[in-house]
Amino acid sequence: MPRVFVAGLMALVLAGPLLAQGGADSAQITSDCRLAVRIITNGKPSSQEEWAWSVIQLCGSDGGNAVATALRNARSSSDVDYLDRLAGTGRWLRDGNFFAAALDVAGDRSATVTARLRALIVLLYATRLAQQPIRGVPISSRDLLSAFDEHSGLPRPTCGLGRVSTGEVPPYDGSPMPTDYEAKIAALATRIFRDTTEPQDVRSAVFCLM
Amino acid sequence: MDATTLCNTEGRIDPWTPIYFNPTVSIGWISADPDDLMPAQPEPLIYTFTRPILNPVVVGSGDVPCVGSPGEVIAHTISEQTVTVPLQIIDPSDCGLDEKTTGYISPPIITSDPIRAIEIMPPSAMQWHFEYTITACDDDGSNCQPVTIQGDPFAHVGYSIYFRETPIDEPTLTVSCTPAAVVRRADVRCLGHVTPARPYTLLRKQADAEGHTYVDDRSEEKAAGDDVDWSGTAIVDTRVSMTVRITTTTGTRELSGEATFTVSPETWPPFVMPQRPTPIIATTELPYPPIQEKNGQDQIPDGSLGVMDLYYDGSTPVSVFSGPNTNWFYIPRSVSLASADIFINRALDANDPFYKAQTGTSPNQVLGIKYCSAGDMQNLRRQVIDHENAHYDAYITYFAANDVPALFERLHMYMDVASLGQPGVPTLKDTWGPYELAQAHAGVDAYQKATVDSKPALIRCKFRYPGGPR
Repeated sequence: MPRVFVAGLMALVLAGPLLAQGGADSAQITSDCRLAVRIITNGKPSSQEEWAWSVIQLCGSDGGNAVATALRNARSSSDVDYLDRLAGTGRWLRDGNFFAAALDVAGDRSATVTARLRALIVLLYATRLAQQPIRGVPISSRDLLSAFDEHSGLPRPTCGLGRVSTGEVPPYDGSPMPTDYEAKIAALATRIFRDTTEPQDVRSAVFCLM
Repeated sequence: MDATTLCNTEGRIDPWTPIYFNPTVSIGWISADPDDLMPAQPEPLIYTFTRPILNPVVVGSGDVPCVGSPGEVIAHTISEQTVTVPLQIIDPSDCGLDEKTTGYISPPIITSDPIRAIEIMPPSAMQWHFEYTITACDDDGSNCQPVTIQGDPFAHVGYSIYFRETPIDEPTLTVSCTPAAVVRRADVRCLGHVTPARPYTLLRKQADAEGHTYVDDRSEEKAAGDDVDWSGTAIVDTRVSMTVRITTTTGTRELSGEATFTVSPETWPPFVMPQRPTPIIATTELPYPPIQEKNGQDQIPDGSLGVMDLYYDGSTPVSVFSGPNTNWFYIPRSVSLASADIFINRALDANDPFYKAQTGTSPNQVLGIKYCSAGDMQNLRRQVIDHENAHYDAYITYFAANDVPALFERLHMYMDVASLGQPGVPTLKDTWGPYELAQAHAGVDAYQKATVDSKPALIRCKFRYPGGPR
């Protein structure tokens, strides 16, 4: 029962723009979030999965916990569509637990490259969405990949920065980000980039974080 | 041995005065006469040349003994080798019963290296006694008697050194960069040339540009005639300096030289806007459900219901990896506009559950919240598409009036590639991104805000959140 209360409170705080439209909506969102969190956390195919993904960013820290769990559970997955959905949530939900999970999976050599690249996208969103104006979103895994220049030894990914939009709205907030999240990202990126035994695609991708 | 340099100062050759072939230097006196102007100098004389010499001949003139050793000359070369030659009586026939003669001479001293100093060992006899008997007769040859003649002469001798001057040997390092005026992204070649040709050690190459210094201090041995070759892509006006170490006849020294090159911009083709895009339903590009509020007002924030994306091709920076502009990041080729997209929120699609949920206010409701109807959603969709098309038109207008490619062309930033990612070192993403934004995008962004975003789409009704799995 306390869990229901917390979820409802977060929805009140975090879904402000929608809730401004009336109390009936806020109650509906609270209810929707309970279901969406359960669906995303379980990670099992569900007929309601697509709906759950469209709602989860409204669910504050509960939503963040759900996608964090889903990302950790998917570290061995190569399901591109599923992992893209997970990574894409980073565009609309800025959450400390989701960030921690992404940091964990991105640095995990036992995880699939597909999963690590999506985790890196979540980290990239964490930095990019903190800037004003917001540029270079959404981010695709293709944006992060590049061959390494034989002379300079550096990759040349576009990092998605060639995309300029006429307007970008900020993400919803979940649980707070660590105050040193930028340093954590930099440390991970440097470690991976300097380790030539890491997969080249992962090394290329972390260059976007350096 | 007393390595006095008693008279060296008198005999020192100023290296900057003309040097004549076979010059002479007098280096002082050795005398056994305590009343002589110069003090008795039975110790060796050493003369150090300010510039090494070749093939010296030492001549000692004065009253010198024919007895004992005339002494010897020791030549010290620049490589600290020594060659010793004996002094010899110039005219042995001059040696009479008084056992005196007028001078010594050394053979030419031949060495493999130039000679930096001459050391003269004095004669072994500085004073001596002679005594001999002659038969003295009257003028008519009578009354002949033995007569003993004796004396205690002393030696006094001044030395001159005749020598051949070594060839003028002041090596120089000349640094040049070609072309001295270069178009950005072209190659520049900076050469360090040592004259006259001789082996040397490259110690340091340095490039200074816009307050940043790049140093390559990897030492490298160079053969005679080999130039220092520092070449690479030119990005920014630069001062290049080089330092080499070189061994000359006068020892080892470091030489430095510098040159500059200036960089002018390339002319890049003007932007050509991609074909006007047909609006497409967004998948991940826009927030869903849509956001209706901005700053507490019922206003559609840019990027909520619609957005226009413009894709710049070739705007990814790269770094120079060799030459004086190493570590400078720049845009490697002309930037163009690859494509444009207009996305509209799927909530504006008539088949979307959110759209369908906007059923409007009951016809009987007079007061209270006015919820959006299907008609409102159609109107909103039209407004959003018009708004994004206005962004497209604003791009066309702005690019026609402003040389934005030139702004990309001149982007350049120094970043030490080797230190990328180290704690405390600004990252490329944190530096280049804001820099590009300020330099290349700020103008068009401001124009879009002033001309298009100042007229946002307005909505005069509330969205109804559909709720529940759909």
